[in-house]
Amino acid sequence: MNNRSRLSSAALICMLLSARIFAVLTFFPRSTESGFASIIGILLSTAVQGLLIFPVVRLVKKTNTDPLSASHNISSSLEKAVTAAFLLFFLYDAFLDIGSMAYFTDYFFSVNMPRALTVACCLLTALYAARLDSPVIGRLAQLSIILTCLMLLTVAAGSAERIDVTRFDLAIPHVGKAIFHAALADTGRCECLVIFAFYAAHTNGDAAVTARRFLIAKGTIICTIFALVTAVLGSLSLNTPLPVFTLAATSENLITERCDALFLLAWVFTGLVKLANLLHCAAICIRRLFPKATHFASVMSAGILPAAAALPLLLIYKWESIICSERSIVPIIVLTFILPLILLRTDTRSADAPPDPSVQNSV
Amino acid sequence: MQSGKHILLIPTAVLACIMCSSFGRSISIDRRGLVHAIGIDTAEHGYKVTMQIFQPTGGGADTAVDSTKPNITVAVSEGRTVGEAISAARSSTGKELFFGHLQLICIGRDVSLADPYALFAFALGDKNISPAAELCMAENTASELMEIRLSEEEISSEALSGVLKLSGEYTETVSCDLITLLTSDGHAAMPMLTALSEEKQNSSEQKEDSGTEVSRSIKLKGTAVTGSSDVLDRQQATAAAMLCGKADKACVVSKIGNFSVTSSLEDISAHRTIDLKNGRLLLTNRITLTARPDRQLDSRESDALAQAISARFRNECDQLQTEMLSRGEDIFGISQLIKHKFPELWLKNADNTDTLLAAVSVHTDVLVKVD
Repeated sequence: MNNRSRLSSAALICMLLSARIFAVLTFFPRSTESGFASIIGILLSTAVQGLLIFPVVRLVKKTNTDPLSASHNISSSLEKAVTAAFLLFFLYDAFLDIGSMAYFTDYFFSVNMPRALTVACCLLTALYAARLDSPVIGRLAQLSIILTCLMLLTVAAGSAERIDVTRFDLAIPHVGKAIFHAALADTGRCECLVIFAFYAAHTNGDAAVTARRFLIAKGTIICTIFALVTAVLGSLSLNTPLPVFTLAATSENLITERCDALFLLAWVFTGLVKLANLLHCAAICIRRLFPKATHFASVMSAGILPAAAALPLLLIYKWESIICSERSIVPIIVLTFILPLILLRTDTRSADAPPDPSVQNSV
Repeated sequence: MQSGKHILLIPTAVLACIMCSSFGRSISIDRRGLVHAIGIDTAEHGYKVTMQIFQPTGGGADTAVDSTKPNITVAVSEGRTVGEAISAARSSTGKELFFGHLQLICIGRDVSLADPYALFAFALGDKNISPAAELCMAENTASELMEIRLSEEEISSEALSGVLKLSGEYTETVSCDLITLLTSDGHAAMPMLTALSEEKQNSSEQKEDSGTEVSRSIKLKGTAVTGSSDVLDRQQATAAAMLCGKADKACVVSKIGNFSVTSSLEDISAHRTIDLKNGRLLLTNRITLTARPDRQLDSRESDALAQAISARFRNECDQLQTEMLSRGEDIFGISQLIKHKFPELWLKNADNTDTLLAAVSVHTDVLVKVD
């Protein structure tokens, strides 16, 4: 693969940030007991995530390949198993993403549009973007992060006079437990770590530097959002279903009056970039599992499968039980820590061999 | 072949757009009722909700607001909850009510605010209602305020909102919004409005129709404290606004020697700290303000004016805060300050916060700069 078709380090960071920011903009985990405890939990989990992705970084440094190619160098059946595991993760996350976009679009807007059509619109847009090369998706992600930062600045400026630092308190019965739950919830929503494991070997920059910069940026942005919501809304942030949206609705300025339209712009953009990214990754996995599958067919099937799974739940109004349930951190730990660690430990005899060109080109 | 497949996406996207517009359950603007203000009162079986719904002018007018006629219609409905009453109003008005422009929520004096989350569940569940919507309390019923149809210059809810905003800005009352109420620990101060009625003789043309016309207006009655029957007067409201950090401007008359000086107060800022001294909580308020007297004063008179204003507000703030905290009425956010600074102490007294608040010693410093 030549350098031109490789992802830049900044683009990858933005892709990962889009995925994480979309989750935090949508809603806060139900386990949130105190905004301040959540911020401490996020900082802790960010440090832990640095350790979690360490094997991936080592693997990339040692073999210059991603976990899929590294497993291919060991055995083809292991490669299929690893690819299937990544594929399932991406499809499940795309399922959650599509459902969330349709469900919360229904909530955010004065929607007079059936959910099925929202799914269709999101899916078509994401499919279009997913068919593009990863550097193009990376540029879209950069745009979405710039938009999100502008939105956050506008919201912060519009609600500056409501900020009260005394709202940062730890007056909750079990502080340690609350921080632990917050750290778990943050890690459980960091699907971006799996995307990092998938892309780390395909960037121009050093994987360790990219990981460090991403974690610092992620920690800073997520903590800023939590801090802003807590300082402005106080205890209301724990009782309102969508705190960042409520914050945006509270924030006022003379030009746009309320900032919820800006919020929606950033939310839709980050959501679509995340979805496109997931479908792109899933399509690559499909092509690895089924080498005869064309680019178009793999992307279409990667999009249609999760959408078809989400649609019945959306239409019978059962989505809330799915989206509000606690997410397990096991798949993330398996794919970003255990699997790369096993691959790193295993004698990769052909570690120096060049990676499979067909896959590299598809990424 | 490949590009043919790609191009399939374009007609599919166009088709999706057409489907969106044709299958959509869109509502035309004439079927929408733009609610600008809501009044909530208690009723026999729950709540009575009175809504001011914007009534645009007829076709051919220059602007959407016809300033010569009442520009609102009033919808009244009842339900076991406020949400149910609002739903009932939808069917009675025959309009799809839209709350994106809601500016004011007026609460009747008899409405219990013990559980504000339950009362305002309709607002928290509706994505269109801004949590920054202003709140006020009616001296009697909210419906009598909502039924006032102003017919000059602006729509009624804007006039009400303007009264509240300016009264809050000039510290005649303490402004309150939905966020302030929902984040408070049981007590919050909010403006109390009353509807005034006076009969006056109509002009000769109108006499033929009705004889007399009831001209009604609104007056700020005081500042209500939720969870309490107290109403703060103007002086107390000024002190409360300063202590809450909501004061912006004020006006004060001070006696310097043999003459009275009227000063406008500006740049009012408040900073407070809480410490634990000898096992007792000590709250220190530091208020800084600039006084602009209405006459030229020499340096000695300026110092005297600064001392007079400082002493006055120091006494008023200390007295008000001590009195209210002794009753457990915390409109100043002291509970949150204790939670922030001494979380363990707060948790230890979580079941008895009134006693904890009552034990707080208050000290206020007022720094006055005479301009």
